[in-house]
Amino acid sequence: MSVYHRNNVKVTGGTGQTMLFAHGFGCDQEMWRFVAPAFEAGHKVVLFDLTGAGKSDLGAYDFDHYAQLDAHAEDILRICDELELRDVVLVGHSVSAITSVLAANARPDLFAKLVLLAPSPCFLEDNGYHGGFKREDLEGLVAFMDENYLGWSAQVAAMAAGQDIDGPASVELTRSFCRTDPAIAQHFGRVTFLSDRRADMQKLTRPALIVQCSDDTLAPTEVGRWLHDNIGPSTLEILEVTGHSPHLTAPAETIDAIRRFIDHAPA
Amino acid sequence: MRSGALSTMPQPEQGDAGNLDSFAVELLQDAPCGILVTDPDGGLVLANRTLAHWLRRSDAELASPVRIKDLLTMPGRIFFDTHVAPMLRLQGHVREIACQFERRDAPPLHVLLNGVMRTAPDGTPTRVDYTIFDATERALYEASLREARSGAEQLAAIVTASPDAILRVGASGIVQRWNRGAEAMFGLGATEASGRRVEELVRLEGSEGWFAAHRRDALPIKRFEAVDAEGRDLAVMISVIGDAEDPGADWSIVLRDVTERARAERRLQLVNGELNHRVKNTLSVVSGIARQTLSSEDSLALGQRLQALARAHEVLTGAQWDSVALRELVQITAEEAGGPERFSFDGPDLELSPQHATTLSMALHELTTNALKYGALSCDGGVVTVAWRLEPGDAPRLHLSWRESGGPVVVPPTRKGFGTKMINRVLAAEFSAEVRFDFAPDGVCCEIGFPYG
Repeated sequence: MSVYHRNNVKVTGGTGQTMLFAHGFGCDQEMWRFVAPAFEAGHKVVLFDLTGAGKSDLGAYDFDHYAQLDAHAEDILRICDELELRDVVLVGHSVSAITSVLAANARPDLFAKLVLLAPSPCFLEDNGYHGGFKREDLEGLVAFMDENYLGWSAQVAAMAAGQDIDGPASVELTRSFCRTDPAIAQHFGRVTFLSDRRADMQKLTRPALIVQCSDDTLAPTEVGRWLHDNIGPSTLEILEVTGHSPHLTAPAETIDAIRRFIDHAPA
Repeated sequence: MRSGALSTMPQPEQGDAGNLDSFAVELLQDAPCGILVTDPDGGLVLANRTLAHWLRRSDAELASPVRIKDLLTMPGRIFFDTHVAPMLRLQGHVREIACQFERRDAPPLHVLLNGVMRTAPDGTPTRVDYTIFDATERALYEASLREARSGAEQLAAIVTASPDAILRVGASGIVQRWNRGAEAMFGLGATEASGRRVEELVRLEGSEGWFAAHRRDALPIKRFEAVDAEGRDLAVMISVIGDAEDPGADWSIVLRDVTERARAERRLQLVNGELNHRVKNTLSVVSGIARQTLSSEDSLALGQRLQALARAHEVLTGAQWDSVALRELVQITAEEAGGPERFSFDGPDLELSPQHATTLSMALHELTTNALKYGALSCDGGVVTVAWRLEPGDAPRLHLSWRESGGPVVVPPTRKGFGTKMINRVLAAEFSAEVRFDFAPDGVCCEIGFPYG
């Protein structure tokens, strides 16, 4: 099956160096809406939905296969191969920052640089490593998602939360953002939050930019520092931003940081 | 102006800004839902009284630098960062997010959260307005719904995956449900099977109307085994779904292929019969050898003992080596002793294990032999009375007494013969029996007691 269909691949921009954007847990390629267009002038911009998210082919989500993050890394490599992408700047957010490293470790020849937005290779507290969470917190998330998806099934009959969002168009929007098959979302949540890929971080040979938010529950700045210490050729930028998605809450700063890195840092 | 209760409420009217303000403030503060306003990053700007009351927090605790996600339970915080915050940025609103707010000295409050992002004319986010609805009842209902759903799904998975054929049929035997096991067993898909008569699909030899016949009995559960048209042995269990008295009730039918087991049982029966036959033969061969090897007196004694053993064996074979009635064993002894005039017995109906039966029948044989030779049965008029009883309790014991009377005056033996040795040793060793002999002058008495059951 073509990756265009399977991962809803969208290519925009020009003919310059390719930038491949991988969204994180929870949403889909719409997450790059405020950042990706800024690079279209000088780059070929490739966006996609992770298998199991957004408008990807949900039928391709094999639960056993995707029980390891490596499967998502393989998807990145398949996209590069099918689109014949080389010298790629791979931008991964959250869990996809981790799979980006896995992909670059498997095929360093494909990638020029990596941008890791709010990465965390391990969410668990572990002996001096401050991932931020206890195991029961993370297990609780799975139960939590179960509750929400049940509530969401009645979504269409939802009451209004504000003005003029009740038209058919807004219902369509509500359905498409950040929602997917509940079973897949739960499975991916579990795989994301219970993985420990710290050992893989140290194997990265490509230069990496680590962008961490100053106030991020999911990926604390300590994790950014740990990554900076453990990834050989890396640059750490801490943005004064609340939350886990700098590309949504501080797109201008995020664009600047990425630009500084890809335009000036040695490859 | 309308009359009644409405007229006592502050009415928003043009030129009456004070009234409008106080009405708006009251509406905001005491609205029947929590109202929360944050800056675009989630820092608290305003929380109404309803919410403060629900969360049991003061106004100061519901103000910057506290952020909305700080009020949530841990999973809610993660969900907020990965879903809610992106959705607010991407689509400008979130609706009916089920989450829980932490409360002081109380379990978390289940709520539904709606939020809308407000923006300046240039599109810059300025604040987020949330309305928060108490969802305690709904959370309870959903939890029980989830539990029921998960239970039902698990049961359905068990039925679906079972190798047994599991069917649901209507009162007239029309198939409604036909699981994968049934598809495999009868080579017919669920769609084809559905709507046909079960007796037509599952043909059992010699009982064409097996389902209808059972339904007439209207027993809640029936089990039987039968051979089907393919020559397979099937264990069939029919049970009513609902009330057996209801003529319209559906039925559950479980069919298990027990061909292998039935074949093994038949083989075992054959082997068992052959083995019993051989044991009897071997015992008579041993008797023959004894006759040729030993003095006539010894060979007679051995021969009789072997015969006693053979009889016990025969009784056990007849009982399929399951259990044997004590009465039956004593009856054999009675015949050996010369019939009811010389031997009487009494006791409740009790079953013995094969091991107990063999050992006890040998012991009874020894007592009989002794009585015939030296005791009450050695002269006219002497009799033996055997009685047994069960002593109930946590560890029930069986007591059996053997009393001789009317025989010659008893002289205690100077040495123990094989018989008494055998009785003492074997009974004691094999089933922790207590054996007590009393060589009273007017007749030998033997008391045997052992754990029962």
